[in-house]
Order: sequence, then C-alpha cells, then structure tokens
Amino acid sequence: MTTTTMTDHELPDDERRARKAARARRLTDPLGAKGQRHPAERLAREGRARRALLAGSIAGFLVIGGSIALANTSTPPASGEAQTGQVIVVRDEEGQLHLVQQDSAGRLVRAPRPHVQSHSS
Amino acid sequence: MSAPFTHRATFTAMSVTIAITGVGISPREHERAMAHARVQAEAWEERFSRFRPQSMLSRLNAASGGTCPVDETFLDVLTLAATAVTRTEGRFDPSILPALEAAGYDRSIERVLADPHAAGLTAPVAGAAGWRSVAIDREHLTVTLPPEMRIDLGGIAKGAFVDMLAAAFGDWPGGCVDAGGDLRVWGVPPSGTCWTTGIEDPARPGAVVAVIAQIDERWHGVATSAMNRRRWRAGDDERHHLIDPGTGRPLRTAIASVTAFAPTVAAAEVTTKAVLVASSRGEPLDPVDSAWAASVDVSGQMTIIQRSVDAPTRVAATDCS
Repeated sequence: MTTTTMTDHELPDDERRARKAARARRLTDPLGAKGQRHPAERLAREGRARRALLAGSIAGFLVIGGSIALANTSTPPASGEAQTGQVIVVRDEEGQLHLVQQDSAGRLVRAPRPHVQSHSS
Repeated sequence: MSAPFTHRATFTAMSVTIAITGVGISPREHERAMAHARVQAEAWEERFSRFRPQSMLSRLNAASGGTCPVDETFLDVLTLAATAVTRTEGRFDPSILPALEAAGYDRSIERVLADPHAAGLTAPVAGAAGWRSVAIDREHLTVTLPPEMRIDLGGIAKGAFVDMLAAAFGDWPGGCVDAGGDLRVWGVPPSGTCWTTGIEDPARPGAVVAVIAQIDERWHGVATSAMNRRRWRAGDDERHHLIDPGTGRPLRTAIASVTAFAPTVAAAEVTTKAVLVASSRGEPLDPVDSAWAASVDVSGQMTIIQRSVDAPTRVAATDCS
C-alpha cells in the first residue's frame, strides 16, 4: 500500500484557506482552537472586566476626593465661624493641637510636623 | 520631585544658639553666610550687650544723662523700641532695666542661674515720661537718656538681629534664621509646601504643644516669651526676667507663654511682652502689630489672640477640640 501526502499548494483553494486559518487560530488562541473556549464569551468576559476596573477607579477617586474635602472642612470652631485668615486650634485623635488657618479658598490648612520650633530663651 | 538641598549650622552668641538654615543653596554659600552671621553677632553684642562694659548700650546707661555716640543700627533699634513703647501704651518698655537688676538679673543669665541672688524687690521704671525725654540725634548719631533712665534692649535687639540676617539672606530660595527660638522663615521649606513652626509646651521644655503651617507672609517672624527658662530663686521668692513696667516687679499671670506671629521678629517680640503684661493686669489682650498670638496658660490651655476685620477675636482651644 502506498501512502501519499499532499502539500497545501496541491489542495483546492477553499481547503488551503481553511487550513491556514486553523493554523493561525491555533497560534493565537490555542484553547479556543481546541474547542475549549468561545471567542464571544472571552470578549464579553474581558469587556466586563474593563468596565469593572473603570467603575472601581471612579469610585476610588470619589472616595479619596471626598475624604480630602471632609478633612479640609472638618473641625470648625465651636465658639464661632472661622473667617478667612483667622487662626483656630484643633485637636487631632492623638490629642496633638494644631493651629489651623482658613485660606481664601475656604480650606483649613494644618501642619503635622514642625520644621522649626519657637520657644523662650 | 526631590527635596531641595538644605544646610543647617549653629553657633552661640547673645547667650543663645543661633541656627541658620539655607534651602536650595550650595554648601559654600551657606558657609559664607555662617561667617557673615558670626561677624554680625559679635558686632550686635558690641552694640547691645548690657554685660559688656564697653558696649554702646552700657556706655549709654552709664552716661547718667550725658550724650553718647552710637551708630545707625543702634539708632534704628532704639527707634523701634521707642515706637513700641507708644504702640503698647507702655506695656512693652525697655526702661525696666533697674527693676530687672533689682530682681537679681544683674549678670549674664548663666551666672545668675549658677549663683542667684536679688538686690531688692523692685526699682523705679522711667516709663513713658522717660521715653518722651530721650533725645535721638540722627545727624550726629548720638543719644541722650534722662539721668535716671537705663534701658535693656535685649529682646527687641535679638529680634532685629534675626530680621537683619533674614534680609541679608533673602535672595536664597528658602531659609530660616533662629536665635534661641525667635525665628524668621522665608521661601521654600526643607520639605513639604510651606514652613511649619512648632510652639514649645512651657510645661515640657523641648516638647511641642501645637504646630502651625506658615502659609501667610505676614506671619514669618515668630517670637516666644515665657517664664520657664530665665527664672531663679531669691531666698523664698521665685523671680524671672519678665517685669511689669507698672510695678517694677516680675509679673504674675496665669499665662505661661506667649508666641506671636508677625511680619518681623522684632514686632513679634514686642507683642509677646505686651500680652504678658496685659494679662497680669487683667487687661484685654491685643496682638499689637502682630498678625496673631497664641498663649498657653499654666494648665496647658491654648488661646488664640488676633484681630478679625474690625475687632479682636479670641478662640478658646478647648472649644475647638
């Protein structure tokens, strides 16, 4: 019995194109080529992941921005409204006093650690 | 962004540590600045030290009504002091020197603390009437004090010294001149976006009671006065260096320290003294020419003293916690 092997260029055009597409698919999507995954599902899944990532980023931005806004507007003086340029005293969770000024934009600016220290001599 | 180069060095003069911090300058430039500061400090003591018999101040105090030659810098500081006496309605008054000596501060503070004694309880203060009789001749660079008047320009002279050095180094990107806790900052800080200054807790020297971000150019001169360091015993009596010009005695007040924030250190120094004296008399507290001041009382409570648009405003620390 004689076995004959046909090369691609000996095949009809349609079959040659189908073989070429199968080889390309095996290279780019081996699991899909074996029938273990459907490209439509993969695309849908990746789309969902992208949308979740985007939603997470927006939520994170809103949370951080909101925290900053709250920190900048918290601890108003109980004895009266702070005016622009006025200095007030706030105490943090650890009992440390901070002298805070309200700037022209209405933000309260405070300093956690001193560069220098004033004292009597 | 990397932190700018920062150089800091210290030396001792006027019985305090002088620290000069330069931000964004070369080590060589900082070394030149330190050398300049040392020369200026020596010249300052030759003018204003009451413990150097040959200083301009000592010769003026010893002149007993005679006319003394001085220089322009001396006249500038004396004029600052005379103006401050008027601005504070006599609460700040360098003519308390006889009373200060009577309380025992008649030698350098190191010697007083090593061997305290008091010559008496009080001595007369020339006060506003004395200052009205001071003759300042700018053309001939001379000063004449009334015969009974002697002055101590220590605090305001030290403040003016810091202001002078800060002006000399003002073209640096940033810096700080600190003379024993009286200090002035400008420009770029060593880290962060603005200079931050701690206020010492008078009950725990070295510890900070509060911190302020110095975001306003009107505050860059800072001075603190307190009774926690220059104090000594005379028998059973405890004395300190802060004298009420009205009584000629060490003042008694519930305020343990006052820190003022002003355009200049000299102005801040005046405010601290005026607030302490006003407090001891039960008078309203006024920041004078400072933007504001922070007082800490003996129980550790902090009070902010400042003007709002039209009227002084006080905000109690405990109300804000």
